[in-house]
Amino acid sequence: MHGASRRSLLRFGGAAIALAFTTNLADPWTARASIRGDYPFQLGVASGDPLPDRVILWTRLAVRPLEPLGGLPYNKIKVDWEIAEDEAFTRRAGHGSAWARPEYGHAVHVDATGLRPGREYFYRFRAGTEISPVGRTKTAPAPGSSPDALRLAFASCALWQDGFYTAYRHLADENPDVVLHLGDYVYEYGILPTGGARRTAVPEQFRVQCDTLDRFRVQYGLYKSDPDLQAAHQRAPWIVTWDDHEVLDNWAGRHGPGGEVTEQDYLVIRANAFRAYWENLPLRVPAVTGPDARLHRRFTFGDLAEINVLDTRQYRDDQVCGDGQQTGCAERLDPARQMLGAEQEKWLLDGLGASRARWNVLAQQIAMMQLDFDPGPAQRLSMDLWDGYKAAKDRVLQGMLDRQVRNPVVLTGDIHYNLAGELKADFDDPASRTVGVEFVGTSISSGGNGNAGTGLPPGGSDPVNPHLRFSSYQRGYVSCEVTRDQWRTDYKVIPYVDRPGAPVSTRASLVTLDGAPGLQAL
Amino acid sequence: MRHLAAALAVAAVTVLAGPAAGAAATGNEPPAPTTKPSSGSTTPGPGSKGVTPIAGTDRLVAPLGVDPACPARMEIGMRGETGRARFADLFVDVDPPLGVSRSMLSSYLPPGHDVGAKLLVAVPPDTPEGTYDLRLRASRRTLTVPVEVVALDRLDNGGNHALRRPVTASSQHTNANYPPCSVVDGDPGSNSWAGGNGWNDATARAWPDTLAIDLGGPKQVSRVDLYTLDTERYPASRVGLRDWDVQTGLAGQWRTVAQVRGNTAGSVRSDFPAVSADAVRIVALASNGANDYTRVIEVEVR
Repeated sequence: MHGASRRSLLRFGGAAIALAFTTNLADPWTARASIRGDYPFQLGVASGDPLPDRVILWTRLAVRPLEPLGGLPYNKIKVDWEIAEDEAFTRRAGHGSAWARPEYGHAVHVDATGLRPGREYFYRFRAGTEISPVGRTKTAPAPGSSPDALRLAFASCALWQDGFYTAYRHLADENPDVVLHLGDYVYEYGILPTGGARRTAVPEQFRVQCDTLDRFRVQYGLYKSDPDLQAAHQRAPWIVTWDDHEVLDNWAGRHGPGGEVTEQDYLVIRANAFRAYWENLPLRVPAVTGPDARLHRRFTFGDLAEINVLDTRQYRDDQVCGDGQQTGCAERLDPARQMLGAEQEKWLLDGLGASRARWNVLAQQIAMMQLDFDPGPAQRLSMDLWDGYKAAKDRVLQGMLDRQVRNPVVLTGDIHYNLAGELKADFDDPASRTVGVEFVGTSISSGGNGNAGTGLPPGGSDPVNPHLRFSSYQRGYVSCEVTRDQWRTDYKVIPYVDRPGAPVSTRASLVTLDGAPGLQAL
Repeated sequence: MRHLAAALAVAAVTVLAGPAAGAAATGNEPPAPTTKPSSGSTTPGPGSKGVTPIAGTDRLVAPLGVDPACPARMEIGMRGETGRARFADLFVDVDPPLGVSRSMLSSYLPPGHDVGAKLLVAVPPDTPEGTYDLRLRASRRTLTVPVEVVALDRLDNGGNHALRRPVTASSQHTNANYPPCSVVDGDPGSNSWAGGNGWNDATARAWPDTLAIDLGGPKQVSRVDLYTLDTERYPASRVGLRDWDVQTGLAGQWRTVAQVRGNTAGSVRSDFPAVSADAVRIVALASNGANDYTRVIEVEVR
């Protein structure tokens, strides 16, 4: 609102008709308090953040998921839950009731405790007379135990209007022990009436970009209505972190899009985005109450694996040299610049130093290995990736060397590309020490069908980025089998996303061995 | 990864400055509610207590028969009465047959600030001219804004013959909301780019792109102003339109009346000897920067 309208508003605001108190509108307080008729579990069920004795159970009630309150009254609604060792719910392990509250978009987060470690469980919800689908979940192994194997899958980048979520369906079919989602779970963009590549009608409220909480809520309502995404949540516990598009493209710490969006505007958007993210995902973190929310946290799977879930957006300094890909940007080397922020960086390195796990995982957003985009002798690097924060990257890699961290494995999303590479102490010196490995997973749908004809075959050699061992530009997800002797990664790809039903295949399988950082193609 | 077109997205929320932006406050307010997730059995009301609905205009003019991709719009918002941050809700409804783009506005409301958002008001083609009420409600208070529905030919266009007239474009990017009609919506600002206030073509590095405005009958035309995308983060010198021809049309015959080359500014005024024209066409030939899309915010014809 600018000068002219502000003056007229003030004048108008002083008139009695401008600010009338009225009683002739339906008061949501007096609307119906219980569910009638319409099915309220249209957004499915989910579980997440598994610990040895507990897991978060999630649902969000909605009878019309594309409306801000999900077609429900502005009332709290009672939801019953139960969890059992068997799918028929004859061996019940826990049950209770929770409120679905309108100020949280009728989301329910239950921390189901008292569970046994390393076990499969089944759960469901009830609201009124309606019963939710049954979800499968699994607790983490006992502390100090020595599990033989962990099967995990990871995924990222699911722009709804770029295609169908077939890859999520194939991921669900693997029944992994845990799913890591590395961000861009939703995109903030407005959606056209024709629904992009899905060619599915999308109503008017989706035209504008997400900014307010009600707008973010309907975006999640659309995304989470997808049956393939629901299947992926229903079949395994998820551990999630956000990237940029849960808020705004390439946001960085306290730096938003700039221009006419002030920092205060941006922080309002960020608070709304964080709140909607919290409402819609099975997280064990406090409910979001503003523009700051801690998301980084740690999960331990016996002595086999420890997963450090990072937030590389909230505490970073702004991208330098105008963002994008740049050649010869000296500011990227500034040792004062932060990617994780000082507190999270210390938390990460302290945790890695104290870890007793065989495989030490960083579940995070952006490529850590150096990626030179210039085919010639010049070095063109992305200012949004770890390359744009070179000193912060070196502190993490050197920190792992200093602490003799066993088998670092970095898992990454963001760039819609499958990449596997070795993390080097000095990426410009191929003879330097290999610190660990990085697996970058492609997008679920972002970018459309992709191209099976490009990329580096597994075990191949890239002259510009010699630490890179594999790449492909196809849609899909990544499946990992973690055992005591080796970590095996299978890159699962699908040939198209512009129509449903694509088959899945394995584009590449790579292995890294315990105690021998590096990648081998199978 | 940065999407070429959508990387330019700018969100539409605006935080309004100070108390002067709001409608008049009335009376003493009850204390702000507690919204802890695990609080007891009391249910907070619709919206939060101590929140006042506000609007960016005291009346809204909604022309009939315009492209539904570019409906009438205004700003609506909330102002907190107390100095504490909260999430708050505002409820919106309008007299039928008009429709609104959102039935509610929910947002974080930082202390000492007001939060507003864009509201689109749709007018079905057969709506009778007249005044309709739009109601904004928070904390059991209602602010009523009259919406005046007028025929396009009776719209006060302030001398801009392009205002609200039909627009056709050579293509439209589908990554976000870039309707061609937004170049005649009367808003020359680059705010809410990708949110419906600007046109982005679909053909990167392919030229020319065209944007044609039907003036609804012959007019005397001697000036065209073109606004290209230009913000602090996305300056025209990096992403804006560089080269274009201005053409006027009469009964289907086009003639070039002005040429712009090497532009790096956010807006360019082209003056030319007055001609009779029933249409104006922008023929875009090149943009600044590597992305090479055409990005036009507004075209004014006088």
